[in-house]
Amino acid sequence: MSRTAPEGFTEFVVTRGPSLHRTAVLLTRNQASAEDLVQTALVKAWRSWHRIQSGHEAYVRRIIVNEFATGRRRLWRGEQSFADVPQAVAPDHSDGVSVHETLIAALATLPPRQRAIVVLRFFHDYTESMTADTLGISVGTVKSQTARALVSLRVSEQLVDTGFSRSVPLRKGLSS
Amino acid sequence: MSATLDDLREALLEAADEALCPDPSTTVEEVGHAVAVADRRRRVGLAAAAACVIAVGGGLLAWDRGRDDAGPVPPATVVSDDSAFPAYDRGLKRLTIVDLPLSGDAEAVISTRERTQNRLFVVAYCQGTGGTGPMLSVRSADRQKFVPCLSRTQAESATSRPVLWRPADADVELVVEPARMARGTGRARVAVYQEVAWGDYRFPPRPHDLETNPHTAWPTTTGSEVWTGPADPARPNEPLTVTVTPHRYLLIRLHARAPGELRVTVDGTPVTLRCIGAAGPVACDSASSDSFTQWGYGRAEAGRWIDLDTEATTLRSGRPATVTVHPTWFASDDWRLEVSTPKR
Repeated sequence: MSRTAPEGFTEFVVTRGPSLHRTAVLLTRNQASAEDLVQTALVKAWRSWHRIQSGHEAYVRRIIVNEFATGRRRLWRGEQSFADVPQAVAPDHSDGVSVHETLIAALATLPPRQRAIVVLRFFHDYTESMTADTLGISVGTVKSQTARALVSLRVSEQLVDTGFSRSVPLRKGLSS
Repeated sequence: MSATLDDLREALLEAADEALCPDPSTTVEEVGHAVAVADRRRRVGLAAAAACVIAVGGGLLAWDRGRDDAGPVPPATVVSDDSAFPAYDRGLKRLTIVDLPLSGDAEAVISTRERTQNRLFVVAYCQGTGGTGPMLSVRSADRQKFVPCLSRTQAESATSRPVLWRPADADVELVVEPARMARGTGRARVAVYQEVAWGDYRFPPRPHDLETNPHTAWPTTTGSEVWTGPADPARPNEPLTVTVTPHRYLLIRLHARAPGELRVTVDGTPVTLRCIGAAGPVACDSASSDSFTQWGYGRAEAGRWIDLDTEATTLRSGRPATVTVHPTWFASDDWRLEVSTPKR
């Protein structure tokens, strides 16, 4: 009953599917939900494949982040099967690993749109303008939501690297 | 302690690298199938599908014999019982079991009522497939999910996941059929479950040897600073508070060996929990769950390790903190709170 894929679709999934899946995993923090999210986006892309002039990956990624950010998957957020649950809670690692784990855990607590912004800005290195365009929001909203997300993640203002263009000051005093 | 943007980037890279990417050819197959299914649903419509209707449990089951092609439909049957699919399992109530051939064009249409807080789950096992792991398609309206068809042994211990994207308070039809790439020889046993409220769940009888059985009896000593159960064993659902002074770490563990639900707060703030041991029929709904529920008999635990130096917390090293456990639904002295405050 399956349809024949549009020209170039299979090659696209083979070459860009892993990247799209990584985006979805960072958003959902759940393997199964990520697969669902990517599949939903690819179904939509399939239907309009011939109308997409260029930038298929950006097009599909836009669907993924918007499907997620608009809250359509809020009821799935964080859902895990037993197979995904760590068998121990004690992070008996070096401080560096603990910081990463803490950041990822904190990322999961952000509202969907803030999480999407963090993933686009700091994983895909999208500019504020590209992020705004992808999510269909203003650059100002991207800036303010980024600042709020970083406060929630407790990323230090003092240690922000030079590659981060920030116009909204981060609040001090929130770190322990 | 604060993180830097480099930490954030590295953390995102690490987390992304842990992702297990699905096989692209399978993905294309599933997407193509989903597109075809959605297109067909538009054409045929829901009302034209069912030829006969059989009452099953709380829902209705129908076999679709009016498919697009006129080929013979292999027999599909409703199964009254299967030991791989208990009637009640980890907060879920079994609605029905169907036996579905993987050949031909059979499908099961299961009509029931979905509620936001009572989601539907599907778990399945296959036999006679020659060792392959076929997938079953489960769709509702224009949505479709794929459920792995496990071995029988795997199905007995599997934790399924909801099959609908957006649970809603509405009537739904679940259409279960072998995915296109799964069609061939063999049969699938498919069980549909629905979440039920605590009061509607049918619990197993309490074992007579609960206190002496090594699988359910508490250890004689744990070495932790706090190891306590209900203050009054006759009133096991009374909240209990202990005061501890954490240093760098605060480790909280909740143990349960019989049906009940546990939550914990520290200085009044709910603590998110992770399952540690799932020896019994315990349900931790998610990694960020603030409760864990034991649906049967067997020792299980959930807990949380808090690092005062790296986590966003109001706790301070050397300052006393109150840890309160909030039990619900327990019938007896069947839970324990364990607290440790290691320095490293």
